[in-house]
Amino acid sequence: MQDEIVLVKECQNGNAQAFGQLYDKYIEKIYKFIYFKTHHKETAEDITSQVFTKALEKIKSYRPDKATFSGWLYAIARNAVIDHYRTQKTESNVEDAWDLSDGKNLAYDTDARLQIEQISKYMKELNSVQRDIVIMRVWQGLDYREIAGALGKSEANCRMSYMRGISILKDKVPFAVYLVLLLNI
Amino acid sequence: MQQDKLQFILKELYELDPNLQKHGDRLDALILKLLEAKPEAKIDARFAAKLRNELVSSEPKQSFIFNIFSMSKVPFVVAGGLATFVLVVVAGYFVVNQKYGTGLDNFVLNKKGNKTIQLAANAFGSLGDVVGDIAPSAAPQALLGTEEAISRDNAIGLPGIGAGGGGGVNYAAQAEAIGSDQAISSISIVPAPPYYEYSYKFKYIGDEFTIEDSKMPVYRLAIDNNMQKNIANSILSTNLGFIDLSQFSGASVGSIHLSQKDGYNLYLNFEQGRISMNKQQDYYEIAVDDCGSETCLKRYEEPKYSQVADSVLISAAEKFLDKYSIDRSFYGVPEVDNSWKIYTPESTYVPRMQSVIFPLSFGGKTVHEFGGYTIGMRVVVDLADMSVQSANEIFNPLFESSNYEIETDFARILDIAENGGIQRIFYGAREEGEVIELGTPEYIYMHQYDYTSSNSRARELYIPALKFPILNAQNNRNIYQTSIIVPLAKDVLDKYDKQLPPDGVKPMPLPPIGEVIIMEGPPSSEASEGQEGEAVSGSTGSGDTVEAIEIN
Repeated sequence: MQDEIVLVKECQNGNAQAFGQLYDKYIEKIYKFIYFKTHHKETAEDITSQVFTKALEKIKSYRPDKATFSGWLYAIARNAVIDHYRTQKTESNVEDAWDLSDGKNLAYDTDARLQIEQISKYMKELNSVQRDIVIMRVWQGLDYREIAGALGKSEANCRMSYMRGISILKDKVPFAVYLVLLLNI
Repeated sequence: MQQDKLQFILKELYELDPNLQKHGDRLDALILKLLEAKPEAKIDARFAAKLRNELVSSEPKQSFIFNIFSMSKVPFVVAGGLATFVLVVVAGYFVVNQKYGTGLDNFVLNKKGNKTIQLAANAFGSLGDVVGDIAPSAAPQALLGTEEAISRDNAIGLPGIGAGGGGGVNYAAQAEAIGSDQAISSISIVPAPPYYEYSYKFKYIGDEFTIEDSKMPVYRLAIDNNMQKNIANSILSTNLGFIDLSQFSGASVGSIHLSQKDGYNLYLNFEQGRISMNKQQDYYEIAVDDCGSETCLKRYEEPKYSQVADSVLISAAEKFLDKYSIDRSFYGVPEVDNSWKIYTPESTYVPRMQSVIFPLSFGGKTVHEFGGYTIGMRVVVDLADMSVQSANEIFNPLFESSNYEIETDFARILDIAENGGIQRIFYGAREEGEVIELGTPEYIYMHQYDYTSSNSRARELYIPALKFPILNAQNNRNIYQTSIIVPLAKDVLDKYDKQLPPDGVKPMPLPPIGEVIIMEGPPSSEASEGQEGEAVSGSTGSGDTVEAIEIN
């Protein structure tokens, strides 16, 4: 962590190579997060480019006392995905690909679609904050400090939202489906 | 792994809300399904590299110079007759001379991670000029079969006869195969008739392949000029009393040799930006010639060594590098150089010195000489006590990179590969129509010396290339290469096309290592005595029969 703060300070002093090191550390994580929310490779690449470009532009405004660098970067990524879907104006209140109704998401990777098909219906039942926490915690293993930074909430709040999200999934999924899930395991 | 994750997630959920334990089965199934449903999200490496380059090279230039001699941690002391230098080379801290960039200011190098300075396109000049003459012409072919050709084997990665250094060279087996030093000099004075007349045919049997990028980076190790001058200035400003060194203004340090008693010799080559080291050894005369008895001779006999597992050798090398915190960020997975086995597969001889190579690597692509030989840090392990005898090619991993145009027409590349690559120096085939099968290529970097710089200092470039593996080498005794390498830079290929004679170049056959050809005429009396084996006849192609003796 101390190394990261040193790198950030050097970036803020104009050292591009230091930014390159931060980039190396986070590029894959951020890309995956964006991909999990867009389900489309080219879209994820576009948004990832925007995220790191913005991070570089805004690096001087980052405050280590306010959030971890990881959380800050994730926040930029999350907002970039929201902006992407809102500018598309396909539907109102769409923050990522999960929110799109069936048939409205024309840009998706077939492999991703097949993979998430079984849980897609249930993930739509969560609000975007709960869904993002499930993605960050279950799929990416982020700790609550990073998640809190990404969402602009407290760690305690994030824990509760996570627990609530899992409970909703548990309740929404019909019992019959659990039998199928259990048989498939 | 999945079960571990599941248990971790469940434990956390139960801590958040113990009531959830009542729904253990459902949660089990739900979490497992969530984990299974996670999409495969692999980032495209080319996209990642391209974005990184764009971001890093878009930043404003650095505005200050960081000089290691301004650091209080880096003092050095010159005492008396320059007996001792205490020079602390702080790994990774130096200043890049502005001359090597295109307007980049001096740059601070951080200690960790891979470093690349992005320069403008074509910053290293014409690669065609760098590679020089490519296709061998008729005149040099006449030299094949002489010592020059034997030493050229080194250039294409084959161990030369009597070659020194590098470790793992099977001197004894080679000497055994060739017979004696006199036999080597017999080869060197023999004019070069073609002993094996047939050229190999190369055939691609790999998959369809597409070259997607039209530009790829060429790399060059960044060298710090200022450090050489700064060290020299500090020495020259010292008042020794018996000589005025200040009169030698403008001098710079080319290299420094440090010697550690009972330890290592350390060579810091500032010209090439490299460090190498070798173990201190006691030298003593072996008065073998004075031995009058078998007992005496046995005292000097080298003990026989048993083969050691690759993993053990690699572990010894890695421990050594870790002990000295030698940066390995630009090296790939280490491998043991077992090339000595190729030449004497039947021999039970195991060389005492064994080399572990840490392949130099850019973005996962390893670096090779044009003959396929792996380039990288070489750590030589002494089987006598499993200590490290030497290590070389250690350098501060700061590279310059510049994009060059790449040939995207795979057919053109394949055409060159199926003609044996751009430097076609092969031994001849024993039979007509022998085919070398080439497999699907992989992207690599080809090492190339650059002698074209204005200050005559040789630099080293790493040019994108494709490596075609030779799939059936074991069936062809005279093929010692394991791959054919074709550079992708258009500059180089265009130069190759311009140099190719109209009817193509045919590789001149050479006798393989292990055979001695004795011409009619006065052979060395020592070479002809005591040799056993069966006579093999060969043809010079001119109708004369040459008596050849195969040494077993």
